[in-house]
Amino acid sequence: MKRILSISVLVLTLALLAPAAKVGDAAPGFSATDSNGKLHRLSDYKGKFVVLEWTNSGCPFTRKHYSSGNMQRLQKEWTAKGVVWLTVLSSAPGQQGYKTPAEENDYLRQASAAPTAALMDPSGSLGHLYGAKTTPDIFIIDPSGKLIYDGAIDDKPTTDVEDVASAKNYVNATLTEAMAGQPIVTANTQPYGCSVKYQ
Amino acid sequence: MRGLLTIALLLMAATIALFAQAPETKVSLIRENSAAKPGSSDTVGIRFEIPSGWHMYWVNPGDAGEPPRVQWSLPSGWAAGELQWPTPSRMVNAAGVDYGYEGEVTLLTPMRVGSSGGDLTANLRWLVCKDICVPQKSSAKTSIKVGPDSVDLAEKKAIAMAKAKLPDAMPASWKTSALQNSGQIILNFRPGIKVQQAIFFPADREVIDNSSLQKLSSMLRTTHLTMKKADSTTNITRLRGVLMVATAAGSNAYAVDVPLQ
Repeated sequence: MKRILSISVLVLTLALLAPAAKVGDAAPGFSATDSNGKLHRLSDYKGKFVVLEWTNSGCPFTRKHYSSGNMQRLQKEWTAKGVVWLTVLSSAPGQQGYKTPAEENDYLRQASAAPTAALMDPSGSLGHLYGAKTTPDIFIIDPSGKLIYDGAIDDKPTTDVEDVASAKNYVNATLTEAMAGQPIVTANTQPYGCSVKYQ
Repeated sequence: MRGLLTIALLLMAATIALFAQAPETKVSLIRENSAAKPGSSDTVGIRFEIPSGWHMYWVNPGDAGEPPRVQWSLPSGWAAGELQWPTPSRMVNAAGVDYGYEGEVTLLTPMRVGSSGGDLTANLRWLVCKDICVPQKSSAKTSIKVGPDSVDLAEKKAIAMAKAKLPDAMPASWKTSALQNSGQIILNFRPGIKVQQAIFFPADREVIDNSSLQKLSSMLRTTHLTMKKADSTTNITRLRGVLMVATAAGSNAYAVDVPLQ
């Protein structure tokens, strides 16, 4: 407990000192606890692609992707291909989207969500470290630890469920291109969604 | 039978819960000239009465949110132009900077008047937010009577007030121009008076970084406003938006639409 506390303080300090993550640079290292109490370090996943997906289950933009099953499909498809998918909750206690670990596990079950893990970030330190602005907000890291995508989940910045099917999905595009050894066509877009409910 | 009742009650509860999340936003349509003849121009205002403590978004919502959208259903011969947006406010929160409205906002639409009467309907969708966001929708309509004798003066006055909240045209004498380098956009203008404060609201997403401080440098001859580009800009050739300028003479908002060199 004391070790986790001191790591959180360290991460928070780093977040306040360092600028937010930049595409092309090494993705900022972090350690965070998931909804089962397990600690995850970015360095644990060297050699794998990592997707960070900021979420708030009450936000209508997030709900667009979950009620349609889009997010769950992405999670299942890419984790099956060896991608580490970390959904991140940076809502502060009392704010929309905040969940206790038990509530998050209930939500993951009810939604049939399939991330590798759900990282609990109520202090917002992981969110600030990456510069997460909205829910959803997507960051993709390659096996060498480089940030290769930062931005929106797709190219239709609306709350309309009907737009999911026709949108260009940047998670699919980035991972497909990267796994084929091709350059990433669109590496940086403006994310859309509700503002992250930081403290 | 009991199963159906349970589902019905659950649906009712869910519906009530959804409406309980955001109070109603009253929407109405107002016309500048209800005596307008066919073939002439008119202006229709879509007035939103936003619940206290909540806000709606500008054409560019900023870092988060979504702008309101309208789909018109018009009587024969009528045509609707593009929405005209009043000058927004800048709304800062822990995650970033957004642009929008609180209280009341009237979006204006230029119209070509047709020869038919009937209902003029605005089918609207918008997002209203406080600490949470709720999508709302409604249809607002007004009946068009062919050849009425008089103009509704109250509505005419309301349209005039809404027009006053639109940004003014940028004076040609200001010789406004915009330049860019790899990381910045610089807006240059010559108001002929020292500028005390200036803020630029970008009409397009992915142009400027909404949270970064805009640097003002104002001398008697020329004023520069330097803005940090958004991380995700691609090839931008035009700078569009609203420039708020404060001088000793007062504060005013101007529409900007210039090529970006």
